[in-house]
Amino acid sequence: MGSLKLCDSEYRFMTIVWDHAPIGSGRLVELCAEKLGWKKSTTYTVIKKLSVRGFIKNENAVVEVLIPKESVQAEETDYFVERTFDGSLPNFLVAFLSGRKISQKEAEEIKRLIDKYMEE
Amino acid sequence: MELLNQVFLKVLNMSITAGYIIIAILIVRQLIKKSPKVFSYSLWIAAAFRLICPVSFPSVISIFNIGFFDMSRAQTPVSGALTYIPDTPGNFDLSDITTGISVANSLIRESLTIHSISRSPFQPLPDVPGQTAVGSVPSLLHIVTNVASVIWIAGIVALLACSLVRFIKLKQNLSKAVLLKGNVYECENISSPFVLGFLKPRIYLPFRMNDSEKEYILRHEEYHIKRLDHIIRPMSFLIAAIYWFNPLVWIAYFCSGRDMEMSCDEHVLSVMGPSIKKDYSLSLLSFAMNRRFHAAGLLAFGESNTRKRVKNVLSFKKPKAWLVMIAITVCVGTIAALIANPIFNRDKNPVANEGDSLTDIYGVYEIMDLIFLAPISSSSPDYYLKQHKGTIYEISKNDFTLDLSQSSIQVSARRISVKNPIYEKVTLENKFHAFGEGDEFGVIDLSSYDRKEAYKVLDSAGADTGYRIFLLDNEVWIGHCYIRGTPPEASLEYEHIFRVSK
Repeated sequence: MGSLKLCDSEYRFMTIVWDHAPIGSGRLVELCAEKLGWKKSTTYTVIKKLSVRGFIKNENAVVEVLIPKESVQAEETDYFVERTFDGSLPNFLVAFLSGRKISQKEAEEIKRLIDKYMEE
Repeated sequence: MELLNQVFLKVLNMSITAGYIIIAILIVRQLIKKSPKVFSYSLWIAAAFRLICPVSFPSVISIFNIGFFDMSRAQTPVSGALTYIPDTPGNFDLSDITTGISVANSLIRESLTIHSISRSPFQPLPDVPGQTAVGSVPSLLHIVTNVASVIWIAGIVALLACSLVRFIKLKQNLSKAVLLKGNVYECENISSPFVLGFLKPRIYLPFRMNDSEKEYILRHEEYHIKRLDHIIRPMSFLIAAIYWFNPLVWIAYFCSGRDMEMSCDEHVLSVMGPSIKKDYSLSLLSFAMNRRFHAAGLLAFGESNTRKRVKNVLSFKKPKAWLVMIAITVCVGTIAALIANPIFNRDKNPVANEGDSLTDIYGVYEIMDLIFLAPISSSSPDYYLKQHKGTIYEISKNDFTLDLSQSSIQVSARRISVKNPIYEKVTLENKFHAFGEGDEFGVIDLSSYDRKEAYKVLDSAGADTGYRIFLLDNEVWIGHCYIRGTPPEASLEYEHIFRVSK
């Protein structure tokens, strides 16, 4: 069994499972499509992933809960696998110019700028 | 390969015009920076037009009419394109290249003169226009063009492939995004909100934004969708990828992106009121701080986008009506001036235009008399005239044609045609030397004529065909000449001059 922490989207998925389990995987796909806007393949991927981590069990197309809601926390992810871009289209050149990470120093300067404005 | 070369040269030419336009936009943008950013954003229409559309219409309002520019060699009366580098690879000479800027052109021409002396001290102009003698320089240019076109295409493919990989990775991450409402999804691992999708655009938000934050961020993103920014932006990227070799195009891409964001920020503030300024700018700051991308610093010049946007948000006031009126006028005027081509310039490159005498004599001509024959000719004047009788000249706006089929000259080309010729007016003195300077031989005396006009026949790219048309009172002469030597010692040597008649 892995960590008892889940990322936000997995937690949303588990909420559905906790409410309905035991539930047929076909029905779960329907529920996820309706409530989360997920594709069938996404739902199956997550079922598989959480089964491996021991949160749920998927046998004979029926999904059952292994860990109760009370012992799981949703955790905000603080790692960024893939950063996204200001506009809408990902491209690596945008990252050079507009997507540069601002330094701590610059962040503080901008913060001061905002505070100063509010005092005026 | 030839097609690729032509497309590349076309793109290169468009890129030069667009470069000037982008610089002009950057200047105007500075002048109107106090006005709403939607105006700065709209100026980029002109750049997009120049990058997409190869042709434009000539107009007096064009920015290229000002003296700083000299488009006389880049422009022909018939084509709407501005061509700095002839787009017929292999067929052009270095001297056919123009920059479109007066000062730069004369500098380049000076240095080229030195080169051409060493290259071709005694090379007659070709009889058939467009078929320049194959010297070492044109073929070298051809190779350079070939290599450059291949690098250009490879660059586009590489850029698009990289973007595609990133796009697929992003889509994978977004598949786990959770529906919030309508077309709004919440997603892990994204640092800031954005819109994605062409036909059914979706808004993606990071998880755990508070409700008030969600409200103004959603307004911002919905405004993007309403304005079709989710389509415009990828298109801009595609254009930038095609012009990847031009840094000005990338500057335009990023500046237009910032203008787009700022004008959306301003929309939200004008709808929701100035009270959200602080929260709004703090959100912008938090999105920027969340970035964990470390390719930074490479091209990090000036202020970051975030600081610029925050400043813009904090200083935003609803614009005064009169300021908006001025800004609209400036923008519409600027866009028109940047989109239009210059009027074909008569002063810098005088050509026959409507109203000039040459248009009056358009028509079909046959040879009457021999006015002048080069002394090196092997035939007697009488025999030469007899041989050439029957040659038909056609002078018209779209064609300058010689039909030799009725004459008894033995040449391979029975018909020489110059499509879309440029008739360039030249000044005529009372006397001129038809065969080199300083010699008494070949001096043609025109003092008995009141009207004395002469026109060079240039091909559509501006190259001299060697043909000359003289209008002398009611007479029309047509001559063919060679240029001996190179400027400034060059002199004209006529092969023959005929008097012709309709």
